[in-house]
Amino acid sequence: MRKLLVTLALLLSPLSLASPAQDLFDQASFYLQFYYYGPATLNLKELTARYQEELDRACAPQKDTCAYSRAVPIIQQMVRELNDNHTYYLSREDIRGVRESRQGNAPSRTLRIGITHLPVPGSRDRLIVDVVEGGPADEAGLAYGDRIIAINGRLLSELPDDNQVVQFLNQSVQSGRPVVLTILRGPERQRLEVTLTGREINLARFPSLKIRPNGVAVLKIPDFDAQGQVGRRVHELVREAQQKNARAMVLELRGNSGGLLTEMIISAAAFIDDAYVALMDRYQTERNEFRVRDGRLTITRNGRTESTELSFLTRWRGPLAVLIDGNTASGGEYLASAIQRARVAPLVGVPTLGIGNTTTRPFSLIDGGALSISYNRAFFADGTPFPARAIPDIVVESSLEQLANTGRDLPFEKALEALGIRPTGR
Amino acid sequence: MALRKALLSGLVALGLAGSVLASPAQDLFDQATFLIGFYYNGPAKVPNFRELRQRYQPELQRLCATEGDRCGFDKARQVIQRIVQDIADPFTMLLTREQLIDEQRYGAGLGPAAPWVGLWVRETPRGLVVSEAFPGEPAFEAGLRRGDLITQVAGQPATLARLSAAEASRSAFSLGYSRRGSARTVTLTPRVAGATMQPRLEINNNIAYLRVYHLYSSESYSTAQRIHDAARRAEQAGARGMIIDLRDALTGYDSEALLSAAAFIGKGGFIYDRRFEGQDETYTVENGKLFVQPEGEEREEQSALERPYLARIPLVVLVNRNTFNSAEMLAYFLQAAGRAKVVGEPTAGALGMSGSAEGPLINGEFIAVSSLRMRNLDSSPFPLKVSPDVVVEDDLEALVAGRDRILERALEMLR
Repeated sequence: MRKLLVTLALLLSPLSLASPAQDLFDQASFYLQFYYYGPATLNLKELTARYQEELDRACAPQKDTCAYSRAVPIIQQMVRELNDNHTYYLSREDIRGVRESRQGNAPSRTLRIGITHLPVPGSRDRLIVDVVEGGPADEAGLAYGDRIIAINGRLLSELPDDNQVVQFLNQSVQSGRPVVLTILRGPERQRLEVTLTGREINLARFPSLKIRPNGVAVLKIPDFDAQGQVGRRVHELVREAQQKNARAMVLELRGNSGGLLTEMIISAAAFIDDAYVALMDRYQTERNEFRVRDGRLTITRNGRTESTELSFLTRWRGPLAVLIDGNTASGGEYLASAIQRARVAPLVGVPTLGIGNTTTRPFSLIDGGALSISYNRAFFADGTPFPARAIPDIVVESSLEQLANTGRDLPFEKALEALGIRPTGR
Repeated sequence: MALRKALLSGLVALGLAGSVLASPAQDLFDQATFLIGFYYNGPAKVPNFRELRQRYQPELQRLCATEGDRCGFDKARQVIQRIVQDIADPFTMLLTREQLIDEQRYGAGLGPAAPWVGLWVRETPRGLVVSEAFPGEPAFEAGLRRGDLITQVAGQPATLARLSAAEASRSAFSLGYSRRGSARTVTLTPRVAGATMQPRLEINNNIAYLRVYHLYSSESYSTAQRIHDAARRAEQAGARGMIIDLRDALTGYDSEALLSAAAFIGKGGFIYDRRFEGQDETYTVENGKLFVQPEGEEREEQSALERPYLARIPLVVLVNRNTFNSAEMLAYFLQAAGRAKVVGEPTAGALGMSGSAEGPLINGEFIAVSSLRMRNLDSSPFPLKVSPDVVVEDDLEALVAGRDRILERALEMLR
């Protein structure tokens, strides 16, 4: 027996001295091949074999000492071939970021005003496409669709390229001094000067409510990340809209990037009577059901049920329209599909990103990172699968260029129209 | 199973259906061989996962020869059990979903999930020797005590299998036993355990006796806290010595063993060593607080006892061949710090092995793999078992005759 072991050990010694890079690659490849349950139809065995060759080339100089960092870009490239937004590599830092958003506390660590902006084609101007709740921009009243044309009095059109515009804005904010933004707003192209000062902000996102002068409530859910917070907040805001006698509601899911299933389903219960998702993995090892009904969140895992009373639930029963776009992803798509199926509101906009029928599960990797893999498929209560994309009932093609040039948010206008409300600007 | 808590979070599972590509047996085999071959870092020589597969694949193929791609989980399970046997370290094993649920119940301060009569017994040719009758459970209430010899279960000669079957039936059954030669019969009705497996303290003749059954914990319950409380009560009662009985103790969480030891040693720690670069973790305890430091990162407080205590009372720890894993660690921490003498038998031999329950395997079970090797803070490795300072055999014959030789020796040492 002993002799056999010695022989075996000798035989194995070349392989048991695998490099860190090879170990990491083996681990990622196994998880991908074994658990992947997403839409990609690539032959995963062939895929990993092909990238093994890449790794061999990359590690040829170092052999047994080839470091984790050599394997990471190869793993990233490999999973990119799946073209599946629910399958991706997370670095140690990414994981920290995810953890912070889950806790609802993601300090920016640098000075920010809290906007996402994109270039306006054919100019140097910037279009605001997202505003972080509670940040300086939000407090100063900046909003989706505002076009920045000057910073501290300097016209952006005078700058030589987009990079310099971004740099100029960043430097102005990083200075810590007040920044004056000149913007164009709305169909009237109203010209405004807004002064705001960068500070460290919380990058974790939360639902927000704005009630327009015409009595329409706009409830925006940017994501479902903050655990125990997003769902509750949605119900609080729906109640607020009811108390303020909002006559209709627009649920803003454009750009919603997904997050936790439980937060999504609790949110859904504010709009539909029986919010339900069942999840099943590739081997049907685990069947998980999530349901919010009759004031309770019930989670059933393989027949074992845990039920929690949710004291904060409310239900929007007024007119509702839902805005979606090509960046509405994952949890955002689940919510849109569930609302559409319950026939409580039309979806307005363009088809969503296309990962609305899977969940992703992170597998820890030995470099401290993780490989998140499409792990479950999702089903409605009657066993029908969720659709990959939510398809709008009212299709409104729109472009950022058109929004930037005319100040008209066409999908939003269509949503109002569907609600029977004449568009009266902002 | 000295499984670290973090990964146990409710991933319970039930295997039902087949897979997409290969046979169910092949899938399960591929999964288990990866988890064992890739992560193994225990004392046995285990080839990496590719070699492991190569080596055992023929066996699977033999078993699956007639069924082809319909070959079921049970065939792969046989091969996996064979691998586990060949590895032959006491930590690496298949775990059922029921076992994991029991661990969660222990962590909540409860007994096992299935109905029982509340006995731990050891099988001998003469019958079942009661090593523990849990106060509050049916057998104890009916009068059974440690040292009783069970001779009959439901009218049949007593075996472990018969007792388990009678408990599983959930209906009343008769139990014949003898105490120092006098025969008795009782009727017992199995029921689901209450909170009867928490540490139990008795103080007799100024000696504190603390029975510890396991080292599990949860957010709502901590075995370590109970041990700190017991140490405080023993000193407050003026006890001049304390015995911690870890004989037959189940495992638990390594961190809980460390926190428990802190009631007597104050400070301590260990290192978890994975076979991969940069993946070590250092666990330390100080003032009742548990810290974890992943390699290359800052240490972070992971948990804290509500009422930590530091006892000076003289201490003797009892162990036997069944004292397992995290329970071995508690004995080891106390012995290595020079804080306690250990009396009894060499322990089960899973000291310094750890890992998390990997899974769920696609058949609904889990696998515990020795993926973590434990080291002292100075990087020296843990021994594989606790060697008692005073070796005394756990003599079941003597126990049936009313003599607990290990306990007697401990009492002498504290005199």
